[in-house]
Amino acid sequence: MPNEFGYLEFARSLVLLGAGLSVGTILSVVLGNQLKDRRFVLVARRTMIGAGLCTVAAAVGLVFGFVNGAYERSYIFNYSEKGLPLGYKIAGLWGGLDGSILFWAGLIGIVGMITAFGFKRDQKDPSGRRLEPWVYLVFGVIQLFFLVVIAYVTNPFEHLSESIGLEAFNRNFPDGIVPDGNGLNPLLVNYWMLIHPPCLYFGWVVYTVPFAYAIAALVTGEQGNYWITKIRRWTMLGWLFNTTGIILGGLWAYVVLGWGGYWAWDPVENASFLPWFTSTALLHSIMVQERRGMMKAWNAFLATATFVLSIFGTYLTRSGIVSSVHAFGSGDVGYWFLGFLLFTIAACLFLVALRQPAMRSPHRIESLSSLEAMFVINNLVLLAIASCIIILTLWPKISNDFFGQALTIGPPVYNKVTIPFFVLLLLITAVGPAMGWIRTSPKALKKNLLLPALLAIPVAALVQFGAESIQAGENGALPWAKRLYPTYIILYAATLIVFSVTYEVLRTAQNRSRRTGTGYFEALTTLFLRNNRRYGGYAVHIGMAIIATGIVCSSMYRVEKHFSLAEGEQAKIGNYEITLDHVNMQPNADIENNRVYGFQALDLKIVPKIGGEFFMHPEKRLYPKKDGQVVTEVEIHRGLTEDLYVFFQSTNEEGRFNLVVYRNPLINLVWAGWITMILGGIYAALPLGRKRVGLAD
Amino acid sequence: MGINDDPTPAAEELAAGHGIKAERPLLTPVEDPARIKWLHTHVMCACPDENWSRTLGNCPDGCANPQKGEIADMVYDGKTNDQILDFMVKKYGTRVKSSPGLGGVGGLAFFLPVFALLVMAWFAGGLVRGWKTQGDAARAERRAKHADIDPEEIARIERDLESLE
Repeated sequence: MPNEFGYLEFARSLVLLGAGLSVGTILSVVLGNQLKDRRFVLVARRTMIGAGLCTVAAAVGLVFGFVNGAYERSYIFNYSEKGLPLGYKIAGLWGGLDGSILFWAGLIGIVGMITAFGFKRDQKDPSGRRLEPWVYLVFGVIQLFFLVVIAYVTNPFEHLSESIGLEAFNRNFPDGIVPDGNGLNPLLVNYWMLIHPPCLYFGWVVYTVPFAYAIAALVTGEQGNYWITKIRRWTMLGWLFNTTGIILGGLWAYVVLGWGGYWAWDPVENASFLPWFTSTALLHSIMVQERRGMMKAWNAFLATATFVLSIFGTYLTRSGIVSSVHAFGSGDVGYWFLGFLLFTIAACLFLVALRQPAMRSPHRIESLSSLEAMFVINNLVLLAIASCIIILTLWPKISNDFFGQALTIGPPVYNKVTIPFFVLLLLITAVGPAMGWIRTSPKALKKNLLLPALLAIPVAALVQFGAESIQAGENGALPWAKRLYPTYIILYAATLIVFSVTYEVLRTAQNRSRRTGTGYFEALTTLFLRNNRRYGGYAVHIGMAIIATGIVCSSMYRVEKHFSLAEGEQAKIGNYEITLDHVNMQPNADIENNRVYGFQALDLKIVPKIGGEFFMHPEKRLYPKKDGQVVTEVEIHRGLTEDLYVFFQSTNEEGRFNLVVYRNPLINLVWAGWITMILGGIYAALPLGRKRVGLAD
Repeated sequence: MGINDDPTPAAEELAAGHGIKAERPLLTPVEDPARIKWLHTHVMCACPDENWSRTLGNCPDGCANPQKGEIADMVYDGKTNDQILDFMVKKYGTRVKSSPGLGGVGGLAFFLPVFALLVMAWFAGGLVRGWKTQGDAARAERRAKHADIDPEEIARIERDLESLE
């Protein structure tokens, strides 16, 4: 077998070495526990760090293979080519199934090493010392699973001669040199590809840490707050990346797929969303444990559920059991993930059932009108949405396999089933700031909520009126029932969130100013600095409200028009006049860094009613290396109130050019809301402010 | 795996084929855009490459134009939504509907989440009731423990707490 790139063979052997070290981690923990010898924990730590280093080095080796053009490796051949810019060569690591598993394992290695170093620092804490070996055990098992899958099922280091057979390899490449690769899927050659998958994977991988701590707490019966403090930080980090990954995935779909939307309830999208619900629930219920010492077993359950759902997502994406626009295909790897998933679920359920009685808190919810009761309801709603999405995602498979009926569960079903829950979630989010711990009197609740509730009524109507006026009736009037539900109801709930948070902040600052005799703005600043967790959280809620407004307006009031234009012809959509000015055709273009493709581009002159013309250039590209795959490059003109989105669909028999043009009102609120959420999340995660004292104490 | 000998596309290749051409142009369905939008949401794209993963509304490719054209024609001919959906099912199979009806196996997709919610609500109700009962007991116990505190003092503290809320 030709082997010019010795380092790739070395990287391949590192995978096996890492697997061996993971076995060492597991054995050290088991033996240390049996022999009650602390020195084994040190061995477990070192073997875990060693396994992590091996995995990271193997992933780096594969990246070097991409950069150096080791096209004789099957995976690199299929996901890269000479002409790709460096960033996309590196992105080849997560561009396909085999590499993405190695990438995932590498991230687990990094996160595991950080966790191990954290324990090294926390040696004086008895809780930390008790949990440490079990956290290593969990990491050891997960690392071992991934490394075995990489070594025996999805090996990205496989030589072309192994995948197509030596004879075929020698016939195609008699001198043993593979000059160029097949190229990355053109749909993946987009800058979001460089950011979206790593964010999502990193978010999911970070959820491994809370899972490991939760399992360790369940195994040891640890009652203190040590593990929940650790879990919160890691969950927050995972949540930030998971949220970013989801939104960037939407943004990627928006700028690449050409249908003018960003979310289609595709199984793979759903898979990315599922752990988000449980991690969001966990971030809220952690507060109840911190403040009142309650919900310990529940938090352990949520941490495990979040990890399990991230593995479930991987199973959905890689097993081929569901139809998806961007699944990684099918293969044996699905069975491996299914087995691992079932093993994890069984182990977690057993541990939760075993430890639940011991983890009961002496404290109870004293009133339904309290913050902790709100958090419980919020958790249940989040879990209800996640359950609905799981059932609906798997339903076509269940229906086909168990009832012999082929059916599709499309967006209308998801919308019908989940929107009521989302509305409820928004309303709970709006009411939350008006609540206090333990008990809130009806009088106080009325005082905190009445004004925001009343103000939100006309403001939500104004927002709706604004979105309707942008659409200007082009899609026909929305029926009254739909204007009320879901449109107005969601806009009202979103507006209420903004008002209730703002009112709470202003009121608290005023109280503080009065009590301390300081100026209003000084009081406000002190509040923000002293309680960054609360106010960061409020910013996240406002971000959610902004996203909800953007989603409702852009989906209910979207305008879609189809035009068939010849050169020089005009069409009109809303306040825009579109002229096909010129057609630019370049069949043998050799444009970006020697990546060969042909293209057909349209020069569209857009004249808005308010003046100030501009040009848009949607185009179609043909990639001969990908079996003549044709990819459409959409063109978006972003505006404050709406996006003008042009998709060059096809050329018809009469030599005219078919265009699909969308007007998406207020769509940029979705991205603005995401930025608000992320900034709020980062602020909430910062180690600022005073030390929290639990009311339970 | 495709191994290409000649990576350069011929001019006529681009101009003539490879999916760039649509089978028919789709003109703006001006007759009833809201209804067309509803139908495009409730009918899946039958393009072979899409593998029933997108609705027609989410499928801007030219290969979906014949199907969109059929819908536009039927709307123009005065067919009802049910008639159009029936036609689609006859022509493309049951997977073409993005939302199965409320009856049969498809209907279970709507009812199972509701059932799951009811189970969850029942579970939560039990949980909260249990907490509440024990919480009431805890409150009563605490009150009994502090029975010697002057009621006026308690009222003052409650007033202060309310002003803080």
